[in-house]
Amino acid sequence: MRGEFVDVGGARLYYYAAGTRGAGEPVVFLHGFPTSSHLWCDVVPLVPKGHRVVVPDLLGYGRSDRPDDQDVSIKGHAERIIGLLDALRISYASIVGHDVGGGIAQYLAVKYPTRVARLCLVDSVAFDAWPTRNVKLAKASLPLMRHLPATWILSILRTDLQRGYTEPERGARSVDVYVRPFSSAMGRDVLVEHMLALDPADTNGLSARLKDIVAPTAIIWGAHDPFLSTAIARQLHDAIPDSTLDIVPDVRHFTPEEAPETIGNILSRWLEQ
Amino acid sequence: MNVSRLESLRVLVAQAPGNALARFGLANEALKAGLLEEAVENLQAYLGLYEDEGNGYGRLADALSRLGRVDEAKAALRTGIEMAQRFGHPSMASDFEERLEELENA
Repeated sequence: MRGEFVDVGGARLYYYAAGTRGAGEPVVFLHGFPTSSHLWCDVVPLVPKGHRVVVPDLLGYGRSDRPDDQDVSIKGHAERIIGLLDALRISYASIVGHDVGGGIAQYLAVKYPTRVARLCLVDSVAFDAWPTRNVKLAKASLPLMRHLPATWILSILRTDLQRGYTEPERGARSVDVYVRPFSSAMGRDVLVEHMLALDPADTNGLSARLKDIVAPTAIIWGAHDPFLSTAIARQLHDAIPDSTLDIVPDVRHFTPEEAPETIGNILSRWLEQ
Repeated sequence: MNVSRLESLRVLVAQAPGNALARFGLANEALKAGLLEEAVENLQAYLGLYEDEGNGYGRLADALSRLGRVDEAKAALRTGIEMAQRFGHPSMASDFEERLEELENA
């Protein structure tokens, strides 16, 4: 895997590249809130040969730049992903998105249908069925949070994220990686900015257009996702024509980390479509 | 080749020939199945219905090249360059320029 930075619209985005170039379209993996490209590290090696793989950190996450005044809504991230594809000379790609990354993937499939070869949504935000109650509560107290120590906010975030894992040890290790960029006072401000941008109107506005998606679409969901229930998966499956739905047993929200082999198998099937 | 997907998109296009995205979807399935004439027909229909930002012209150029219709492929690339530049995709435009140069030097 090779990691590097690319300038997109005046901000540096980190991404790592993997896979092998071949006849297949490139595959782009998008993480959600508040994770990073780390989410996909066990899935990427399972992508079939012949596909270039690109795994970015969205702006304000992982190793990418802080957002400063840039738009970190689903639309803002999606437009930057188009900029990233342009910079990497990728005109047509299969897009895989988890959580908010799934919202970005939906935006791309609807607004840039000719750039999306295939669409895969994994435990994705959709419709107006997010964010979770805890995130809504946290958003309501953001004016206060800005004055609290970063460690206090991170402890709440850690506890909440931990609920998304079936295996607590794996969860603790990954959550450490995800919250690290937000551990300073400046990082706390970035986290607040991300939380303010979590707006279900972004995906709800796409709902009526999901029926127009013509890219082969796979929907994958953890059977026990505590943040985004399987009812959302079924609603997406009903909304997107000819989509496939796989509910992965014994897994919560972070399906790419907890069931990479299952995801790899589904992706192999999907990439053959 | 996913026959059921190809067939369902054919049905969709037959029911709604003015549905640009169904045309694009059918063209892609036809390309995967190696049905180049059908792909070209549907890409051309799609491009007549939808203001494409460039990639559609690149795909049309690929299909036309594979059919040996080189002059039409070059024309598609020229329009693709223009659209990619208009919509702010300069690297896509330069990619098409390279492909056009290859066709012209072939």
